[in-house]
Amino acid sequence: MSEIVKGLESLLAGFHLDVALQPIVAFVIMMAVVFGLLGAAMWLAVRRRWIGRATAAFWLFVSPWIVGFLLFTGGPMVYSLVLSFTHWDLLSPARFAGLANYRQALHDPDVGQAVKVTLLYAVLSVPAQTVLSLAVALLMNVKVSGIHVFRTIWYLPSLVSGVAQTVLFIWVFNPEHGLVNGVLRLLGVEGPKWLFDPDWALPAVVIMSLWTVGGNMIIYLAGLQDIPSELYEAAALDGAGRLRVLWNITIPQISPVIFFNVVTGLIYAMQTFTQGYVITQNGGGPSNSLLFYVVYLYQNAFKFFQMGYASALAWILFLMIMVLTAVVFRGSSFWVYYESQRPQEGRRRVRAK
Amino acid sequence: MNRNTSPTASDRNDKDLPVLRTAVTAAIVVGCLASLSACSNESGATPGDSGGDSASISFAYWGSNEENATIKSMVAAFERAHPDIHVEANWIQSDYEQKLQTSIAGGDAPTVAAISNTSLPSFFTVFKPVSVDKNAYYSPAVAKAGNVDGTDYAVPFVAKSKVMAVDKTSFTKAGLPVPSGTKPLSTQDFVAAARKMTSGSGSSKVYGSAPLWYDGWLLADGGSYYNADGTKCTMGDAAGIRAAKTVVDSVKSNGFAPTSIAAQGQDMFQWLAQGKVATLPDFGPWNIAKFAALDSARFALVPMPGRGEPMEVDGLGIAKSASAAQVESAETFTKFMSTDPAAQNLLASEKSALGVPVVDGSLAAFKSAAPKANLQAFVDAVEHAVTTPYVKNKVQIESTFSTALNSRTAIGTGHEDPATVLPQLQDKCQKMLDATK
Repeated sequence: MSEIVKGLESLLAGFHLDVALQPIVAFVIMMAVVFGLLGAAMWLAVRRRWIGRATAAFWLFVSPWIVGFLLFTGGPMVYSLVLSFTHWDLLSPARFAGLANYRQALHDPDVGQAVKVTLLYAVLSVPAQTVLSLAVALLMNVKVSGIHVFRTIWYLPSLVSGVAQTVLFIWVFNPEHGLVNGVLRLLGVEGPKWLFDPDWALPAVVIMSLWTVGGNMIIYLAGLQDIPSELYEAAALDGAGRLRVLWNITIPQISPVIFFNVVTGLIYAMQTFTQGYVITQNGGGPSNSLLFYVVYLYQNAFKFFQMGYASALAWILFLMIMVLTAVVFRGSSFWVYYESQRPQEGRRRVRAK
Repeated sequence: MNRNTSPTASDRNDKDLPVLRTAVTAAIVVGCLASLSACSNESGATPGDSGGDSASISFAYWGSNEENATIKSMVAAFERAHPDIHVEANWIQSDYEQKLQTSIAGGDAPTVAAISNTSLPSFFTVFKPVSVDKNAYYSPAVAKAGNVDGTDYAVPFVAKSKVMAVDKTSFTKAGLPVPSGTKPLSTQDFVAAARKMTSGSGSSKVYGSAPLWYDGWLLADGGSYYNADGTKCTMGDAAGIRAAKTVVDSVKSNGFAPTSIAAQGQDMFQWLAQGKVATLPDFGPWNIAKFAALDSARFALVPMPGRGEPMEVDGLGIAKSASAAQVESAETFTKFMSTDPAAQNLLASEKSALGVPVVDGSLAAFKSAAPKANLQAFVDAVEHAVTTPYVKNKVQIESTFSTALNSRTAIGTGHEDPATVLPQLQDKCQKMLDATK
């Protein structure tokens, strides 16, 4: 621990504070001092008229986020960037490695497999989740008595944590004792080995991901209920059928919501960890068929003690997500409709650049 | 209206003092960074160093609820014997190595950490060399367990040897003699017996054995991962291929053990108790309390076939970052835990067993935990355990090997012939081994 923290903990021990509470109280004191200094700096700046009261208030109100960001996000990110240029096993001092970790990643066949698994999962699961959650939201967007019960039922699986959900599906997909193959057997079909078959493991995880579409469904439902009813009335007067209404009114109107879900879904898919980790720990995912990128990153960091390499992998993932997100953002100009934007405006903006 | 928010004042601030505004912003950022640096770590001192009591030490270990209770009772015994030393017990229930690793990286290393002989090659650099009295232990394998490349880094305190639990009625029904409690079956005799005891089909099939663990069977059948000095990978030689073929054959439709898929999520101990499997190899001492509850007329503990399975020995390492006073306390603590009967006698009880004591004087107390069970089999396994050499990067090499073996052969979910796969994996292992030099 740093000298400051040690000093504070000694001080707190002098007050007979419980040992377990000493670190958190020391942290609170340090934060209080930091914010006290910031407050004093703001007060001085306002007194000397360097900045206005509103500006000072802005900085004071935003400072918890800034401190939190630097402490828990920005700081670790910068640190991991530095680490990515080192060889470090966490136990011995780090050694500068230049670009060796990045070069190693380029030639590592397991990285290629991890990228393949992760991209395939994203390409399969994101569209499937989008279509299913939108379809469910359309079904749930009717005014009938008891609809809230059905909405709740659809949403409930989203409350189950990732590990619990994965363990549950390991049982559901168990080739011998599982529910899925049990039902298939009743129909006279011998099911695959699912999570224990290299060809079926990833599709099984994609199917598993559809269990929690309730979360996206709620967002779509909010978007659907925000569509002005006049548009539907006008369409009805013009004699538009259900499909025409869906294609020309509903989907364009909720396209920003679809866009949001696609972007966040893509980012989450690229960061998939729990399913791959838990299933492989339980003997599934043979032939690295569930070697998700983050699982491989974790293995390198905490199993193989290669924190520098793992940090390089983390930055490569960050860049991959940035690029994919940028592509989706650019593509959104062609299909996302904003009320406040004139038609074709987005497309022109893209072309102009 | 507030003067600073009036257009005039605001304009003046905006036009006249941009540098000062930047300076204030910079001050905020510096303040935040100061908070970051206050939380950073440079010294790497261990916990227990800040309370003013130089004799206090921290002790990290893993285990189940029952194992935690056992270790806590050992720590309490130490504190009774040494009231001047306080031990801050830090029970890490899961992901022990990862948490230990990050606490060390964060400069918060425990003064004393429990570490298994299998993990020690990855961690020894953070431990101080320790003095191990080889004559204090009845097993040469235990005495060598904390040694890495010629230096002792951990003091052994518990051995986790493996035996085999058997259903005697299955042997009798098959017309076979019940295995001896002292002399191990040969691997060939075990396979023949397991085949003979297998009967039925489908969900009512009775298996001669629970699934064989390849790594364990490799050693039992005369093979090994590496040669004696850890310079060559040897799992692809004749013994390795023979062991792999035995494991593969055992899970075929006419085999004597359930497949990994059939066994997935199943409690093999329960299967033994219910008569679904006749033998349970790879039986560790943590199951002693459960085994003691079974009918001793029907179930018995016998040695593992062949040369036995690899044995885990847990030791106690002292952090390099500990202060001189802490090291002194830690040495007293590790010596007590390792050799004092007051601690060693507590390793097993009727409720739970952490493992087998490492000193001769506590073996009677160990055996009294389940007087009707043949706990001497565990002791014999400790005494005759085969030691494995130190190999750098062992975890990565064996993890890569195991994943490939399970994926490609029927030991896991693959279909390839072990005779083809193992030499290829041995070559890969050798490359990884050579790369560490």
